[in-house]
Amino acid sequence: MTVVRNYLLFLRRCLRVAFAGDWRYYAWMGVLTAITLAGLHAYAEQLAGGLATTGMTDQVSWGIYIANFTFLVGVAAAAVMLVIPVYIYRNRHLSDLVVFGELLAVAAILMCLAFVTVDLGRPDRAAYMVPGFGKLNFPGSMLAWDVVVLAGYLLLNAHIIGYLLYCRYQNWTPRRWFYIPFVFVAIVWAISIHTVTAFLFVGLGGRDFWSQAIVGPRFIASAFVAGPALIILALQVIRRVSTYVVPDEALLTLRSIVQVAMLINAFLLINEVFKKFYTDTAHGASAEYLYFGINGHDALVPWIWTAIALNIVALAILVLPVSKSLRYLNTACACAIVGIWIEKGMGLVVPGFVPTPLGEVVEYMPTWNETLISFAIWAFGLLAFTVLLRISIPILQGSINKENERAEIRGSGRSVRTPETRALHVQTEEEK
Amino acid sequence: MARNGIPAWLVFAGRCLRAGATGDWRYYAWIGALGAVTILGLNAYANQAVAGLATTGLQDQVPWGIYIANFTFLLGIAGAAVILVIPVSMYIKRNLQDLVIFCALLAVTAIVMALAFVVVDLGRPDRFAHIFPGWVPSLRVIVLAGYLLLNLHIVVYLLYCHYRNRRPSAAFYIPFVLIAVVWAITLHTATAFLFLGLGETIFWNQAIIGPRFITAAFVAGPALLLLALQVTQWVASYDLRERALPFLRMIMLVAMVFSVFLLLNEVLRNYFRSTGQPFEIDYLYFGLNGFRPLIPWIVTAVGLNLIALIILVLPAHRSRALINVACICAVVGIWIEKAMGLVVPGFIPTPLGEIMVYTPTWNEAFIWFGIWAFGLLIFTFSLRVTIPILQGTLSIADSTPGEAGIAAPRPHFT
Repeated sequence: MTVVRNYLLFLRRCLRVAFAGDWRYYAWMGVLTAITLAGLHAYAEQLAGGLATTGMTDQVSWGIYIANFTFLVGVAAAAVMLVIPVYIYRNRHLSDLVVFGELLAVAAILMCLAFVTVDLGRPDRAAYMVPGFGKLNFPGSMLAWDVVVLAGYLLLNAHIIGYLLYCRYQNWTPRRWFYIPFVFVAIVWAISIHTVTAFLFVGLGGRDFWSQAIVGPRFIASAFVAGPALIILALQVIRRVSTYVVPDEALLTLRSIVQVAMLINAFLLINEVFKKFYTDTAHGASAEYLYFGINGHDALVPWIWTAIALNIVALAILVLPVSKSLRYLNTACACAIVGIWIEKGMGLVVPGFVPTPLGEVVEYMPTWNETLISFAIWAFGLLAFTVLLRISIPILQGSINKENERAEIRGSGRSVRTPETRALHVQTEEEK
Repeated sequence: MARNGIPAWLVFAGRCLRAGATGDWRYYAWIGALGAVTILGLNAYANQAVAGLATTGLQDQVPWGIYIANFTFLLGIAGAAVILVIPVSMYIKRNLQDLVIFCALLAVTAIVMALAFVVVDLGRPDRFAHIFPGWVPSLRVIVLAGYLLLNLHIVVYLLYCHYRNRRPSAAFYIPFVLIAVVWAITLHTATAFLFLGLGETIFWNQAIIGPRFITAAFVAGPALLLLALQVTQWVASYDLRERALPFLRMIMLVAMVFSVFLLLNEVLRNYFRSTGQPFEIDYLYFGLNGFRPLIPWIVTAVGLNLIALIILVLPAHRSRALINVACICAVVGIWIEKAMGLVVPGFIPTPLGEIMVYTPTWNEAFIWFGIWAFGLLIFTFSLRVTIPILQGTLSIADSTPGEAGIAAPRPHFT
């Protein structure tokens, strides 16, 4: 019984920390909550009005939602790029930071699930996937695979982080057999979540734009650019707003990962473009629509060229030594993230449908309602990520632990100041 | 600088030639055996040149065979050898600098062999002249010849500096190394595009072919280099293994994992979607209408690759005996996969639905072995010259004027 009680106490303290912070924290959380609520309202409209409120059509039935979903699965998978250096190559710069990568993965998967849900015109029908009530159709359907691997990845990460943080809280040495096997399963699993997502596209034999073996490797390569790039930016924010020490060496290690992944990604893109255009068959029609427009229909042309320009800028900065300076590195990361988002979103999802098998060219533009929902899910994801960080940083720093549990409960009352914030105050005063 | 009127570089060249022509009985036996096989191959080629490609197993339906397969494989080796230079020059692993020379030597050998394979693949080799710029400008020839020149420049410059006991000036070779690196990728990608560009042959017309070429080459190249280093250590007391082995192993491991991942993607792509039957891949892995000549090949290839992968992933790869096994498995496995697994099935079934069985003839096989023997001959010769220079036993210091600048080469084989 005490085990359960101890764990509940731990959860309670985590919850309390999540609601405490300085004015910057409240302002940030307030803004994110406001956007999330606006999006929730937009989603309520979509629920009432159906998918007609979105820009999707019979012809182009996947839009910005699936685009975001694809991108975010990649971000989640990319956490493995911190895990591999730490657990296989024993990189010491990253070892304290691997938790942040995993937290980002958790937040990204939450966003993925949200994006999939809003993409359903009748979300209640999702229940049909539950075996018994409906049918999961497991080995046959790629979608079933995707549900299984995504949920599994969420559980794996939640277990690893949860266990490590709880051990830190209790001041126990984590038992290796209780998390190391899961770490290694998670490494393979991370690759699988993105490969399975790729195969959602590749498996559609009728869509020649997607039905190519290279889509899988490209997904992985671009994810390993965008994910670590996001982590680089996130780590710098953490360094600025908390007292957590993030060494520059860690950022530079991530830089070399982004660098190599970006080179591979560019190489794969060249291969793909060559295949689409050199043979000059009708199979290249979607690519032509994407890059040059067909019959004056060129809604995607500005998007893709922006993406390519951003990626080239990012690549150029990354291969040059200037990216060792953080300012340039941040520019490169931002460019890469936006570039890859566009490329995987508007550049991959939409043109797969155009032209349709009947030869129609139907253009897709997200509506305002749709855009609002997308922003809200991002805001929600950031919210989740912030809360997770807010909880785990004090635990990692040791300012919230078993020892000061009693003190907090005794003096709890309604004080907003947790021992942790008090500890921070003491620390800053000492520094003065 | 000249001594007794002979320019130093000429002395250098003369001494290199002499060093290459001397050695102990093992050296002569090895060179002799290779020479004999080469000459047998030359005889076979003479047969082919007289009677035409009818002496080979190639047909109208399967016009590319073992020659093109070897060509593809060797270009991969050439490319990978130079790409290994990236970590050495960029991340400045100074203690691996000797490896740059080995890599470039392997690249030069592989390109010479690749060119030989292209030549024997021509039914009318005299028409080869038509691909030179002026007749029909061809990107591929420029790429290949340029690559050969780049590598020759790097090797000869570095060796000559070693010989003269000078520090190589970075300005004079690093830019070339970097160009060669980009060039190497271009070379290999261009080879992949030779296949990929054929829109009708669905088996090849896939964007993943390019990346698969590169990753396979990144396994086979280091594997060959590693084997070469093991042999070098065995016959000459020149040991680069302590420094180079972990590095080469690591590259092989990563490339092998990538390679398997790409293969899985390709197989899944062909089988998961329900449209059209993937005839070519069916023919390769399971046989078509009772014709299953490629199955033993591909099963061997997949088996060997898996053995190599398993050895590389497990800590067992730190044992030197096992790493040799892994290297041999990987080289043979990848060779088969590229040859019988990529070149031949692309043509089968033909657009008319015919299923033709291609098996190399003996004459063809002789030419094939002849070219490999010739390549090994070049590689052995160049190592025979290089190693004394790197060890410092062949240097400008011991070329005495009394012998007209040509010192008697010392026996370096222990």
